[in-house]
Amino acid sequence: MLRVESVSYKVNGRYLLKDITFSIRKGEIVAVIGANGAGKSTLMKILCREKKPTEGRVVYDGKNLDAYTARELAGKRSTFYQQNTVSLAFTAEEIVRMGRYTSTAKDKRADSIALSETMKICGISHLAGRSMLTLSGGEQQRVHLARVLAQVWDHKNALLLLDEPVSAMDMLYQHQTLGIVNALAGKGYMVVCVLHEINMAAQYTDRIIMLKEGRKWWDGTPEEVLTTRNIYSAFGLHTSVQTDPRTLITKVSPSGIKLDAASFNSNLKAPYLRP
Amino acid sequence: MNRKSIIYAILTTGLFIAILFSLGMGAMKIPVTDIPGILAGSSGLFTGLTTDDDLAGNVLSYVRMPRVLLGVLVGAALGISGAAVQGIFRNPLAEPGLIGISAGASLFAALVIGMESVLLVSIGQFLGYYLLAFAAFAGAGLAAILVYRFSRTDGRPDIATMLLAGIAINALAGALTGLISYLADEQQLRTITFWMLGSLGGASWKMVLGIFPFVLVPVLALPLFGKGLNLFAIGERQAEQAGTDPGKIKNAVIIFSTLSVGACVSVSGIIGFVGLLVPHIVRLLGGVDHRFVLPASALLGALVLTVSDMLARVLAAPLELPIGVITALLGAPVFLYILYRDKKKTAQ
Repeated sequence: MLRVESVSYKVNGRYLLKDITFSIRKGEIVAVIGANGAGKSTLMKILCREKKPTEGRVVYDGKNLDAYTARELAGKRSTFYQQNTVSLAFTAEEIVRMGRYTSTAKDKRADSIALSETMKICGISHLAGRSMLTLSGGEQQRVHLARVLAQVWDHKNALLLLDEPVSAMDMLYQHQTLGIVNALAGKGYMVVCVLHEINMAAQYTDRIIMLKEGRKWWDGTPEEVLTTRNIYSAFGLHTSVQTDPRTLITKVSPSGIKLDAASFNSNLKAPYLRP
Repeated sequence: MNRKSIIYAILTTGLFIAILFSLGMGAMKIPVTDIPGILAGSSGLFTGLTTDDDLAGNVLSYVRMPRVLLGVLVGAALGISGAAVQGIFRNPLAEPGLIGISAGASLFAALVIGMESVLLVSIGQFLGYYLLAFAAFAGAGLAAILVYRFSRTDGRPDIATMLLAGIAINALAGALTGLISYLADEQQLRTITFWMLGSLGGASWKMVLGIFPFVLVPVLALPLFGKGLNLFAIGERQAEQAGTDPGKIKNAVIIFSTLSVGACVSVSGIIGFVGLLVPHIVRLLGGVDHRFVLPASALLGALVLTVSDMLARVLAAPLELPIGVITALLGAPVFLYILYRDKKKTAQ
């Protein structure tokens, strides 16, 4: 169980996060959504202990997050960052193997199983020997996902923190990735996932936490959180929302934005305008 | 046998062959086939009890052996430190000189050479003999500590700041060295220049034994950080999430490479390009895994320096070229070729 207790994070006197409280149970998959600058990434950094909250605390498995050693934590928490640049020409397989460096598994088979299974479900088995520097952005993202999964593959109550895991992936692997983490949640993993694609959040997660200007704006099932009113408050965009009566999946359709190009550069007059 | 063990085997064999040839070459040629016999027969190798008639034995034990061994130690230290520093900077163009080690050592060495007459009178002849080495070591350490202090935030060094602080310290030390050179007389200027180009000329058993622990400890300890440095390649934050302590790795690499490179610079002057180039070649040969790159860089560094020193003695015999000139002459074209090849590879 993960408990976030009145966490605030302040930089230069400005609150990036203000009084956030929630808890996550075993087997729960939670999406964090919100506009740019709402505090999603800051929240993830606090959950993975990259940053310490200026007020409040995070408790994981009955122990304050600060009390863990890096190695202990690595065995039960794995983090996927949205930015991953590899500085040397490691092969895809070597990168995934790095996820097992701090493995404490007594049986070496746990390592090889984690390696082969995660590479297979992330669809990178055929890229095993390729240098990371020659892979496309989406392929690299899948390799890092496999590494992050391999790190806690043999710990079925581990915490998975994913910051925009699907941003560079094609449509198939966007769904494959969320399908994987959804299934892992079914096994007992706790998953916290920052998502921009609101419909994917609705389709694959149990619960959505909506952030606005550093505060928790709404927290509940996709159907509760994703209303026309909430989405307009958080994103400033008009949408229509429907819940499919058969699948019970909520679907958000933005109405689109129309702009008048005639108003652009209206202060530019000849001779500054090119003919 | 896998590729990596083959590379280890080739490098080790190559190093032994290079050592044998290097022992034989120079002003007095000793046939390679005779060397093992002379070494085995010369019981006085370490006790100093050789007779005067045993000229080959004397040359080997007092001149060649310390010189060749010094080359091996310096090369190993430069190679492995280069690989480790490139690892923590996440930049294949980094080298130990980047954190001010060489510049600090040069400044202090130039200072000693420039004020030689004053210093020698005040502290006596004996200390004066080692003064240059001590001063260079102190300068290397001081520069590295300064750079390190500047770049620390919350108890751990920040790599980008460290790079900038290193550039600043390098510029400052370079300017002061330039000032001393400007004020120096003809002979001093020559000494300073020769020192900055590096040489193994003054090798003695005392030097070899003196730097031995400073090289041995880092060469044995740095490979233990292989996994951590691998994780560094995917990012410092990622490395921490995967269970390592990036601060600890950075501290260890900086301390170990300052110790070993500082010790080497103090006895051999500045030998460029080895720390930069050797890890590159090792990666081309056997992949980028630091658990392989670190020990292999020590081996290849030792090999490259042994061969370079041999060339330095032989090419313009009886004159001796500065070894830094040889390593740069060999290194720069290879490096340009690597850049050219990489460019072609990424263009495809």
